[in-house]
Amino acid sequence: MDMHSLRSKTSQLALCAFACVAASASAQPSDNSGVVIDVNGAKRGLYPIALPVAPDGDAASKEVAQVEGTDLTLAGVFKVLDPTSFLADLKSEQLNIDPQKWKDVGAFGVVKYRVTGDQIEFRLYEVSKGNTAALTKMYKRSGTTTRQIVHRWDNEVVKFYTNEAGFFGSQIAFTAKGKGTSTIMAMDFDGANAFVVSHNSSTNILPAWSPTGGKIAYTSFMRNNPDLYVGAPNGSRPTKLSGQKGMNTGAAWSPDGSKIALTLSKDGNPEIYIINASDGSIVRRITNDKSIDTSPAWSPDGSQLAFVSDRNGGPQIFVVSASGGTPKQVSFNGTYNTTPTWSPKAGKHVIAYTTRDGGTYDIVTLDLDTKAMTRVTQNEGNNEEPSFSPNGRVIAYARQGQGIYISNADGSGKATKVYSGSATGVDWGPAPKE
Amino acid sequence: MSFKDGEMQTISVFGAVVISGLLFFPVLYWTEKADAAKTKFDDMESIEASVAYKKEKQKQPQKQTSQPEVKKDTTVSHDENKKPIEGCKLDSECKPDEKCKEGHCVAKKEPKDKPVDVDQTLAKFHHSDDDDNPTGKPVTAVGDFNGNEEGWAPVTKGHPFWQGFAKDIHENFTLPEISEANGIPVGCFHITPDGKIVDTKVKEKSGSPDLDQAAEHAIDAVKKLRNDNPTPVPTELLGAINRWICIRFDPKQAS
Repeated sequence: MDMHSLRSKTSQLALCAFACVAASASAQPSDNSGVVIDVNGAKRGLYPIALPVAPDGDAASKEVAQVEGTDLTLAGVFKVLDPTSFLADLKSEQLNIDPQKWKDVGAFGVVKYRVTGDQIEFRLYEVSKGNTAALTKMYKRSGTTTRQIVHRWDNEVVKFYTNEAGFFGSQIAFTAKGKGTSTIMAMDFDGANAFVVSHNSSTNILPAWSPTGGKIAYTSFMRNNPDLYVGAPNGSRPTKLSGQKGMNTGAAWSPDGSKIALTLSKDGNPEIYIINASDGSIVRRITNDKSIDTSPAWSPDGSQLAFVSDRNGGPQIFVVSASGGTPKQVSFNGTYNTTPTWSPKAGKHVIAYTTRDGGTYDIVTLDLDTKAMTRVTQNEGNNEEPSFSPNGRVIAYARQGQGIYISNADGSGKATKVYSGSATGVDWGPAPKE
Repeated sequence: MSFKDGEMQTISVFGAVVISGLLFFPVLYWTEKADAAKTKFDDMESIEASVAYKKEKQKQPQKQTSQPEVKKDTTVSHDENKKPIEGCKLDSECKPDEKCKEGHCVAKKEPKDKPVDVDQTLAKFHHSDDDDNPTGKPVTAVGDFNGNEEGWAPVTKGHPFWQGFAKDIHENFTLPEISEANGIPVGCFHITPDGKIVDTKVKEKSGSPDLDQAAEHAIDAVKKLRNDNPTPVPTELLGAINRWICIRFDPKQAS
């Protein structure tokens, strides 16, 4: 064998060996995990939450379950699951959970509680995170009611999920119509504990909560002229704030509580004015038009007012700067839109109002930035005078001849009746104090 | 420095041995290691088998109408080379029901079972919408389920069966409005030819617990739905279900 052939054979051997090594390395199982079906776009819905009644509970325990069920149903965030579907053994679970049992019934969250002699313990579980409670609170029962404790806990639950303050424990004012009279009343947001605010036999209309909830302004005919009165919700004797000749109606407190926007017709034609909340003196006239301008509503930042005017024909919603200027029409659907109210959600410019659709009245919301309109009620009687909850998630309104209802502001879910009877002029008060 | 031929040859041989040793040692080492990890080799074989199997698509025959078996006439020899048995010259030399033929006794009657005319038989069962293509449609036969593989050939994308499957999943893929929607969980199904789902798994989690739970819920719901009312897998897709069928649950709308 000559040198050349030896070198050649050596090279071939080396190449062969290299090829074998390379082939061996590349013969590992390939990543053949090709995924073919792409499902895009999850449906978005309410958060399924289970609220099992504590086993072997007494009356207080049952009250906790009842109040909690109502609160979280009305929250605008949750879908409260039907307890009859639960698979978990509540007795053995006690305050803990078996996550799989709750997953199997579609629950994402579970609230457990235990009422003992002088305290109530609550636990919130996120099922997807296992059996460690995501939130735990203990409340003393002395000096407060079970309802109030549950409201406080439920506000914590809402805050946990949304980082927003809950509205449980807030109140709604409204006008209850009687035979020949109209009375200002208030109640818990869920319809409990209703009480009379205006103790007179006259006609009282259009209540408005002050931003702190310490006062209610309303128009009363007790001295024959529709004057504006301000009183404490507890029914103490009200004081007359504005007694201009003609209408003193549709009061709306500014967000800082220092001013009130209202309709005055002292010069013959109803116009929008701003008065001082302390003495009723006129701060500024907002509108000056031969048409009828009514129902002012402050934007959350106090910079704008929405109101109703028929200056372009039928009643429509207009927005104007709180310092005056040229109003701009914002509602264009149909020929009849009234009673605007502004969503309190920060950073949003959304109003809700009553619209006439065919022969019936319905509640809609309108995003002033995107012009997107959302229907809140439909084919459910005549619905009027909406008012947002303090966190803007839900809307209360009057259903003609039936009572007061609450619906999710995004139009989802079903309306819940919270007051039975003839009611108008719904106004939702501020969030409860911590 | 110079080497003589003999020295040069020795150095070359030594060098070749060293290089070969260095190159072969890893091969031998990995081979032994691969032998130790027997399951991985099994996987490799499975994958290769799957690939080879995909290339060799079988032709689907037309309807499986088998030709009736023709009974052999045992009374007559079909062996041309067979010599006739010397036994008779006249029919009278045979039994009453036999006759003498070619020097031996055979039965007088013809065989009862005549060969069936296949064309005539098939014609009786022919439907106007039958596929007369003699080659039929290509089909991939069902093999054993390979739990190590996921997905399937792109050719199956967009098939109405998979579209229906995806629709069922989408219908049940609901995420709470307040829940995070970051990441894309992946879930997989083991579907049998009769359309039932015999196993599921979560292959990848998204990192958003609620989103993962929503995907799991959709998987469970579709499993129940499909098992309660199974839709058989079409013949042309049978090859695909040899492996896990995986779904990417993207919570965001496709742009």
